[in-house]
Amino acid sequence: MTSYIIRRMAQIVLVLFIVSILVFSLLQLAPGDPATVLAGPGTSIDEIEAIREDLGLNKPIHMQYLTFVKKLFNGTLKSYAYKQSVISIIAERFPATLELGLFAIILATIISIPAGIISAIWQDTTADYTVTTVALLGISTPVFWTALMLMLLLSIQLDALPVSGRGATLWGFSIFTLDGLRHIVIPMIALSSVQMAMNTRLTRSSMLEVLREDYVTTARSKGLKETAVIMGHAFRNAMLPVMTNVGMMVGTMVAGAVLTETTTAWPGLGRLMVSSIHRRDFAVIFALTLLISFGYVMSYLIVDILYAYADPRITYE
Amino acid sequence: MSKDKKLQEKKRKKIPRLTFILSLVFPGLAHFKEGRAKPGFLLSSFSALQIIILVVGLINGRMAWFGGVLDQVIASWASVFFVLGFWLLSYISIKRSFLKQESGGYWTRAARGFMRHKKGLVGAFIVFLVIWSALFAPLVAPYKPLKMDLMHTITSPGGGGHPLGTDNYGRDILSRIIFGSRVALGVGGGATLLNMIFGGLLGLLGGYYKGFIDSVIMRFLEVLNSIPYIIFALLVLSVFGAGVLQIIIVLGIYGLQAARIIRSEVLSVREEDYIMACEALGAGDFRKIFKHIFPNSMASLLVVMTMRIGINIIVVAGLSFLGFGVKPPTPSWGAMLQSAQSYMTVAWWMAVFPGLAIVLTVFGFNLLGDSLRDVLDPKMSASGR
Repeated sequence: MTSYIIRRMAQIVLVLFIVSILVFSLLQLAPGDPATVLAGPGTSIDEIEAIREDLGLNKPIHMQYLTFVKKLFNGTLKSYAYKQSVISIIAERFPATLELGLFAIILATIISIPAGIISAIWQDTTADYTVTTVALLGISTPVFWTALMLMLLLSIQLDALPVSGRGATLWGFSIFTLDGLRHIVIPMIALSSVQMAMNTRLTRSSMLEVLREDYVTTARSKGLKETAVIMGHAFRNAMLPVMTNVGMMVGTMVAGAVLTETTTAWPGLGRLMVSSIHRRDFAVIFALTLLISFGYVMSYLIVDILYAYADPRITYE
Repeated sequence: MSKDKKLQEKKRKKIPRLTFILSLVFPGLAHFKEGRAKPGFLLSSFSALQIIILVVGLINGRMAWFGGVLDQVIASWASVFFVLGFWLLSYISIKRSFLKQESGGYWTRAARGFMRHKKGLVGAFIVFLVIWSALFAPLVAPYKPLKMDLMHTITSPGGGGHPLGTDNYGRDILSRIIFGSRVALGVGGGATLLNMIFGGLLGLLGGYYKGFIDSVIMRFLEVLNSIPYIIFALLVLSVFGAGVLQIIIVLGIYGLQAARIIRSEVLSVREEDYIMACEALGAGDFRKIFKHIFPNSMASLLVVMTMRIGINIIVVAGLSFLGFGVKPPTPSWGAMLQSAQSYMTVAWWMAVFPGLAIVLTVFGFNLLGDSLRDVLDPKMSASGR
């Protein structure tokens, strides 16, 4: 197991290295000179030259890359637009995305698992058709449109919730204040909707698969109550792939957050990414992409490790 | 069965005169008479739809036969040929049903299974509807998508002769949605096609040659997978500029999940005895891959492709929504939603209808994909039915 984890970590480092080179080369190809952008209008050529020197933009490309990475890790890489360290900008917005993503995952999980189980137990009933149809509609709906429709209905028509923004926070969290709680409802539902639908489908199919296993038939034939069969025997085994998917949500939430945060003006990393791309703020783009990719691959790894603990049949050599 | 017997069979099953006449009167009628209500219903409803499109186009004087805008010319000729085509199709289908042998190949059986699949038929119907509106947009859309009705800006649905209302420039929402299906299908479909070509090829290569090539390909996919699609697309589009072609290429490169599926398929197929047999007969790699292994992966490729189009349509809409998609005057669903956001408080219809179009289209593709999976690939089936 330990050697497996070490090997996977080495792979992750390699993957992130390639990602960083990929992103860096892409940014190099982008039109526009970062030094000029950073300097802003009305700066003299000498000053631009000084900025270029400071950023290392007059060095060969591989040296530029190394400077970029070095500065990123020792915290001195500065955002082109905000004139402050990239790390501090990201750290400032990270809690917002963390909170939104976390509660979206919780919401998606607590609704999708019971829905999927109900759908599987009562296969081919009205309840099942309703759940599967709604779930299929769910995966067919873009998150930003869900957000728009919720804003239209709850904020504009019913005037029950604020349209956008994050509202007041306490200890960095919105949910501890009433105002913040009212603000988080729409982005949270929108962000969780697709994952909720996907997880419902997965729970259903996984449950159906397990219910056909021999040991379930055995459990039934020895006279166990149906609830005992489902909760004690089928449920726990069916949950393995579902838990994997919940782990994977961490990664997909980030992608969804880009659209949800932009739509609802939630001040998190996703919105920062879009605005940085609009502003050509290479430093922030570079750091954010690496951070997001890191989160992505780490979530895969953690899921794989937990999987081995949860299911003794699985071993990694 | 010998040739003579086959001929006798054909002779015995002669088409009844009435059936023959009915098949010429209107597509699908003969099927009803023969007790095949479902294909009959499909044929007659699609022919009716097609005739309505043709008539509407003729009445409104939207036809352009020889000169004019290319898409209008194509739509005009297509509407005529499709009407004729349905007649021909219904006749051939009736004729074949009298020659039909029991059972048939894999695809024939799959098609028969699909016809029994209610969900799949609904999905196929929705998908056809979208393809039709894209193809015949100039004939069926009430207005030109860029035409501004300045007397009726931000008009609610039904007002000023605009069934779904107008936007801030007085452009007809319904017409823009109908024309927007072209962007959705063109970009979503184009990207998916690239996905399948690249993904399929990588999967075939990796699965077939294994070893070094395989691990390089898998690492490459891993790198792609470690960047969320939307961020990858935003990055590339911000560098190379937004546009139809750029989006198709970006999404075409990113969504290579097909590679994994094809690879595992190839890995299992290549160990089969018949592959060894054709190797013993002296078949080269090329022949083995494209003649024997590839056809065996077609079913899963088709399923993945159908599901992928839905995802790609959503991503295209998302990118346009963020302002990195199709350039503004071109009608696209995502861009329509983007402009709708500024008018949310005054014009709900600007935000509702383009979104419904996206949901309906993607829902259709997903339904179709789900059912294709059930029919074609029982292994992958969610419910195992």
